[in-house]
Amino acid sequence: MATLKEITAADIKTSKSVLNQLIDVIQEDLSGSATRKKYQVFVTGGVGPGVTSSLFQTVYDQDFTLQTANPMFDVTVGLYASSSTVISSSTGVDTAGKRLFKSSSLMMREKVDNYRQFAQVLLGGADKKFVAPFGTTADETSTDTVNEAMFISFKRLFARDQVKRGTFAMRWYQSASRAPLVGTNESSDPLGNGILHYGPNLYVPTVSGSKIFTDAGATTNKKSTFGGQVADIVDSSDTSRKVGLMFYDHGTAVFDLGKIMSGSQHVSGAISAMSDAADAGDSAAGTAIIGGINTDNKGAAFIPDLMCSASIDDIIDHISTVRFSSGTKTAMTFQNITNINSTLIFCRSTADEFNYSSNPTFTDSNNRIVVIEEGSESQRTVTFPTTVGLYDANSNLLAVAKLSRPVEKRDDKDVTFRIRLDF
Amino acid sequence: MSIIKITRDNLENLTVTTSPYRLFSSSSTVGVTGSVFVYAERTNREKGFFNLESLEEVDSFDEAKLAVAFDQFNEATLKMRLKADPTDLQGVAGSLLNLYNATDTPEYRLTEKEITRFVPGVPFNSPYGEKKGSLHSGSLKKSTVKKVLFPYYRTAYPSAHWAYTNFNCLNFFTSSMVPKESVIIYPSSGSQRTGHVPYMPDGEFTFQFWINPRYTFDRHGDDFQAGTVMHMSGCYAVSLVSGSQKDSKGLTDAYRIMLQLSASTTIPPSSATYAANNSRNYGEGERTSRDLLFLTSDNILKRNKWHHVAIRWGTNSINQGTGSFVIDGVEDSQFYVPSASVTSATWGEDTMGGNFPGALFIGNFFEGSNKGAANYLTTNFFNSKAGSEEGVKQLSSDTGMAQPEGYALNHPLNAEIHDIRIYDKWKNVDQIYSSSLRGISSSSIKDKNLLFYLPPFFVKESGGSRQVPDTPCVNKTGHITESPFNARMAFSVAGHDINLENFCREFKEGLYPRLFKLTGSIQTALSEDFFPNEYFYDDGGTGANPRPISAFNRRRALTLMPCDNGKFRSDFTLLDSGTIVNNPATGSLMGSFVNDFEILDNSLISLNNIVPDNDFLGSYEDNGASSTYATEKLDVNISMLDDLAGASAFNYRDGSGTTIKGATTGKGQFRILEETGDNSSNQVVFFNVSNLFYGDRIRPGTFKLSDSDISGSGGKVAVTLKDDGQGGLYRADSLTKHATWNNVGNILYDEGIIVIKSPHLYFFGANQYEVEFRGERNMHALALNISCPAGMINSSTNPTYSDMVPSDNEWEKSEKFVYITGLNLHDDNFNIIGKVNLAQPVIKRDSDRYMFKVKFDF
Repeated sequence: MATLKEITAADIKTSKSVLNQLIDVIQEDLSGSATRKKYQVFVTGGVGPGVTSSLFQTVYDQDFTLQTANPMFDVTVGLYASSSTVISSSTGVDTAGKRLFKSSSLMMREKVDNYRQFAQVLLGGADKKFVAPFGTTADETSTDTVNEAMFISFKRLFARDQVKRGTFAMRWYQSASRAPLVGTNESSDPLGNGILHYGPNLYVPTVSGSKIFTDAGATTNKKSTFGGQVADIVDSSDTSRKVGLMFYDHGTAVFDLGKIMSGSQHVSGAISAMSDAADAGDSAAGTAIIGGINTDNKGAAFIPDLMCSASIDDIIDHISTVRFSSGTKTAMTFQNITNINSTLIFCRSTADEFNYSSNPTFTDSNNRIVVIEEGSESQRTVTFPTTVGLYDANSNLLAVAKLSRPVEKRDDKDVTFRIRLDF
Repeated sequence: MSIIKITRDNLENLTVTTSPYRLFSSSSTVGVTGSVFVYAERTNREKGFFNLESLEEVDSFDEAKLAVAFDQFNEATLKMRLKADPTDLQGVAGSLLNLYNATDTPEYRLTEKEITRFVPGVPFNSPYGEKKGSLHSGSLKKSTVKKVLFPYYRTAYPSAHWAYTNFNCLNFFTSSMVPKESVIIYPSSGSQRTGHVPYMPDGEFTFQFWINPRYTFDRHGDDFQAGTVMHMSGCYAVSLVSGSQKDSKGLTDAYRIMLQLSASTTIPPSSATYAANNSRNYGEGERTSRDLLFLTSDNILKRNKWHHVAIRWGTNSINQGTGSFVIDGVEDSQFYVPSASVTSATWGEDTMGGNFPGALFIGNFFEGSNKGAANYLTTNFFNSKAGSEEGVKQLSSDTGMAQPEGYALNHPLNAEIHDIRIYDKWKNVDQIYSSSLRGISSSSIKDKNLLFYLPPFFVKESGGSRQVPDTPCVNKTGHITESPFNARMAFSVAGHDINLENFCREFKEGLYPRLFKLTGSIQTALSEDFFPNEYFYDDGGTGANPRPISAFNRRRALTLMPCDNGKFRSDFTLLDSGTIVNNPATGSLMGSFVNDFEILDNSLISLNNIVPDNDFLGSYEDNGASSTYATEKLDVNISMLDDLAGASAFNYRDGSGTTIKGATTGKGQFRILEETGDNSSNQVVFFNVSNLFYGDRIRPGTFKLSDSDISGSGGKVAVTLKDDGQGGLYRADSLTKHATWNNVGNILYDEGIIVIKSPHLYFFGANQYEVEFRGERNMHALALNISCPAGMINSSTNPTYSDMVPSDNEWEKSEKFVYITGLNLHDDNFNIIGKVNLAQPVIKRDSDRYMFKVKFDF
C-alpha cells in the first residue's frame, strides 16, 4: 500500500479526440417487413372497416422481434402546409382554423403536422419551410421549396454525436417500375384517352435507374441553423441539383420528394382507404385502387395523388420497397463522429520515491527487507507497483488504475504512470 | 428562485440487485451456446472504418481500379476517393457505396465471450502442451489462484485450500469403453484372527453397504444385467438385480438386492431363478444349489438414489434361522435358513487345498471353481507375477503359481457403492440404522466382529511396491505411491493416472486388493510424438497401433469418484496413524491430511508437496545414462527442451550445492516441476467465467456445472457439481440429499473462477460441459428528497410574473401562486451540478407543501 503524492494541476492534461464509424444500411433493411416496424396509432372510423397507420416507421438492422435488433432510423413523410398539394386537395377551413379534406384524402393533417414537427425542431419554427439549397429565399411555388418531404432520422446509436460531413450517400430509384398490363403492350392506352396505363407498380421494386444523392461538398460549404450544422444533399450526377438537406447534429436527412421522385409518373395499386365494399368497385372494403383504368383517378400520379390519397404507412411502404429497391446493395451510408474527451494524469515517481512496500512479504520475520541473495551488500530495494490509486483531498479513493503487469521500480530510476480517463 | 439546503438526511441511497440467469454449454460435437457478446449494442451495419483521407483522389470512376481495390483491400491498396469536385461524382460515389457494402463489420464489434476451461501444468509444445518454450499460461493462472486468491478468500470460503475432501465411493459401470471383467479382489488369507479366514463369517453375519444404482441400460428392450456387489466363492454373493418398475422410456428405474449363500453362490446372478418372495422353507439337509437364494421386495431400490442395505442372519439360534434385508433402516423382507452356518467350517487358514474361497471379489461375480486343479483357484489371482508387478500380497511362496484360468467375470456391477462392511454378527435394526449414518472410527475398527471395512479412503500406503507408469510407455518398477494420483507421470509429461491402490485399503485386515483390469497400464512405445493422456487412454482405433489395454486405464480413472451421499458422514479418525500431532511433518503418514496451513485435518487430502523430496532427488540417481529413457521417444522432447533452455535446465543441486548424478544428461523426470517450481497438484481443472456473464458476482448457491459424459466413460458417467454458497463445490448427482461438505473444488464468486481440485474429475469438461448460474448486478440509485415547504417558493423572478389566482374554483382561497417548472441542484459554491425538469409545471400556492423526489441511477 500506498504512498501518497499530491497531483498538481501541471500533472493533469485534457485532450479531445474523435472516433468515426462507417455505417452501411442495405436495401433489405428497408424493403423487409420484418426489419421495418410500424406503430399503428392512427385509426379512422365511420366508413368501411377503417384505416390504421403509423405516423412514422422504424427501420432495424435485423428482425425487430429479436432482442438483439437495433433501430437504425425512423422514416416518415410530411407535407408543407402552404403547398399546392395541400391547398388544392383541401375543401376549406373550419371555424377553428382546421383545414378540411375530402374523405378520399388520407392523413393530410398528420402529414402536415409531421412537416411542422421537423420544421420546429430543425428550423426553429413549425410554420417554416425547408428549402434546398439551404438559405435561399423561396416562395411556395419555387422549386427550391420542399413541399413534399421525406424525413430520415438516424438513431443515436448510429449517428452518435454527429454525422460526419461529406460522408452521406443514398442510392435511390427515381422511377417506379412499369409492369405492363396483362395482355397489353407496355405502352398501352386501353381507354384511348391518351393516358398510358401499366400494371400495378405501387409495391413492385425497381431494379434499375438508380441515382446517388450525397452531401458531397459539405466539408467546404459549412452552414448552421437552429437545428445545428446543415448542408445540401445533391444529385451526384448533377451537383447543381439540390435535392435535400442534411442536419448533422440531429442526424436527420430531409429530402424533397418532388425532386428525387419522378412525381408525375403514373401510379397504380391498392391503398388503404375510407371505403366499404359497396363503394369500392373492384377493390376490397377498406381499400381503394389508385390509378386503375376503371377508377375515377385513372391518371393518378405519385405526386400529388399518392401523397394525398395514401396513408403514411402506404407511402412509406412504397418508398421502402420501390425507391430503395430490394437487395443486398448499400441503400444509405455515412460516417458518424463520437467525441472522446480524455483527462491525462501523470503520476510521477522520482528515483527516491515509491521504493518501499507495506506488503507483508516485503520484509521477513525480522522486519528486514527480503533480498534475493542474502549477505549481498550491493543489492538495492526493488518494488513492483501494481496499482495506482487516485484520491481526493480528503483521502477518499476516487479511482483505481490497474497495471496490466507489475512494473519494476528501483531507486536508480524514475517511473511515470500516465493515467487516461476517457468519458 | 429560492435555494433550499439539502442535508444528508435528505439523501437516500438504495440498491437494487438484479440476478440474470445464465446457461452456457460447450461441446466438441455440437459447439457452443450461451456465449455473450462483448458489445451489448452491436450491429453488422457498422463496417470496418478506413480513412478516406489516406486515399488518392480520383475524379472519374474506374471499374478496373475498383476491382483491384476489392481484391487487395486488406493491403490498403485502394487509391480512390471522392474528389471534392470530380468529373464523375455519380460513378465514384457508386463505387464507394459498393466498397462500403463489401467491407466487413470489424471483428471486435462482434466478439463473443465464452466460459473457458483450462488445465495447468502443461509447459511444452507438442506433444505436451501448447506454447513452445514458455510456461503454459494455465500454470501462471493456477499460481495466482492458489497463492493470491485462495488466501484472500479463505476467511469467507473455508474450503479454499489446495486440498479436497477424502469422501469417495467406488463407481462401477459398464460401457463399450471399459472392460466388463474389471473387479477389485481382496486376498482372503492371513487373518489377524487366528483360526479364521478373512472376510468369511463362520456363522452369523451382517453385510452392510451404501449403494446408488444410478445406471440403467441404454435402450428400451435391453436387459439390465445383474451385477455383483461382493462375492466370496462358495460363501456368499450380494448382487443388484433389476426390479419390475420402468420409467416412461421403458428403462429400469427400480432395483432389488439378491443374496446367494453357500452352494447357491455357484449360480451366475443373471441365471438365477427365484420365487416372488423368500417363502421357501427348507430344512437342514434339504437344500439344493438353488435353495439359498433370496431377494428383497421388488423395486425397493430407486434409480440414482442412495440406499443403505443391510443383510443379516443369525444362524438357527436367532429367530430360528430367519434372516432379513434391512433397507434404509427398515426391515424389508425375510429369509429362512435354519442352519448353524452357511459357509464351510472345514476351510482352514492359508490352506491351499479343498474349497478354500481364496478371495473376496468387489464389483463383479467370480464364475469359476475353487476345486480341482490349482490354476482354477481364486488364490491364483495372487500369484508371484501379480505380486511383483502389481504389489499385491502373494498367497503362496510358489513362484511358479500359474495365472488363474477357466473363469469368467461377467457380472459387473452398475452402481456406486461405499462404506462396505462385513460383520460376523447379527445386528439389530437400531444398530444397523445408527451405523448407516456414520463411518467407522479409529476405535470401532477394533470391533472383533468386524471382518471387512472398505470406506474407501485415501491413505499414503498403496500396498507392496509395484510397477508405476512414469510415462504412458515407460514403467518404473518397485515403486510405491503416496499421492492420490501418479505424481511421476503428472510432473514429467503432464499425464494423468489415479493411484487407485491408495484408495482401496481394507481397514480391518490392512490388506490391499488386486485391481484386476484396473491397473495403470503402459502402452507400446510409438515412434511419433503423442499427447500423453491421449496415448494412455485412447485405444488408437483400428489403426496400425491399437492400444486395447487403454480400456483398463479408462476404467481405473473412473472407478473412484467423489461421493455425493448426504445421508452419511465419514469418520476420518480412522485415518489416525502413529503419533497424532497438529502439524504433521511433510512426508509423514499423516502429512497428506493437512490444509494449506499444514494443520492436521483428517478429512482432507492435501494437494501440496505431491512429489516427495526424496523421490525428486532420487529420480536422477535412478535415471542415469543407462536409463531406459534413452531409448524412448520421450528423449526427443527432452532434447527439445535442451535446445530451448540448455541442458543446465535439468541440473539440480541438493542442499549442499552438489550436482546430482545424471542431471546434466537431461534425463530429469520431473520436468514440469522443474519448470514451474510448483510441487502442488496440476491435476485440477479451471473454468473461467467472464464478468460479462454475471455482473458483480456469481450469486452464491446458484452455480451448477455438469458434464453429461465424462471422457472415457462411453456416455455412462455424468457428473454434476454445485456450489455450497460458501465457495465450495460438491458433487450433486444423486436424487437424495447431497454431501455438501464433500469439497471437490472451489468457486470464487467475485472473480468468476472455478477450480475442480479433485483429481478424479480431471477429465471433467474435456469433451463437453454445461454451466448454469445466476449472476448478481447491483443497480445503485440516489434519491434526493427536496422539500418545498409552505411559506417558501412563493415568488418568481420571471419578468412576466404577476400575481394571479391559481384557479377559478369557488373554493380557491389563494390570491397568487407560482408555477414550478424545474429544480436546479447546486454545490456549496452555487455551481449548478444538476438540473431537473418537471414533465409539467406544478402549481404552488403559498400554503402548499411539496416534496420532490429526484432519483439518479448510476
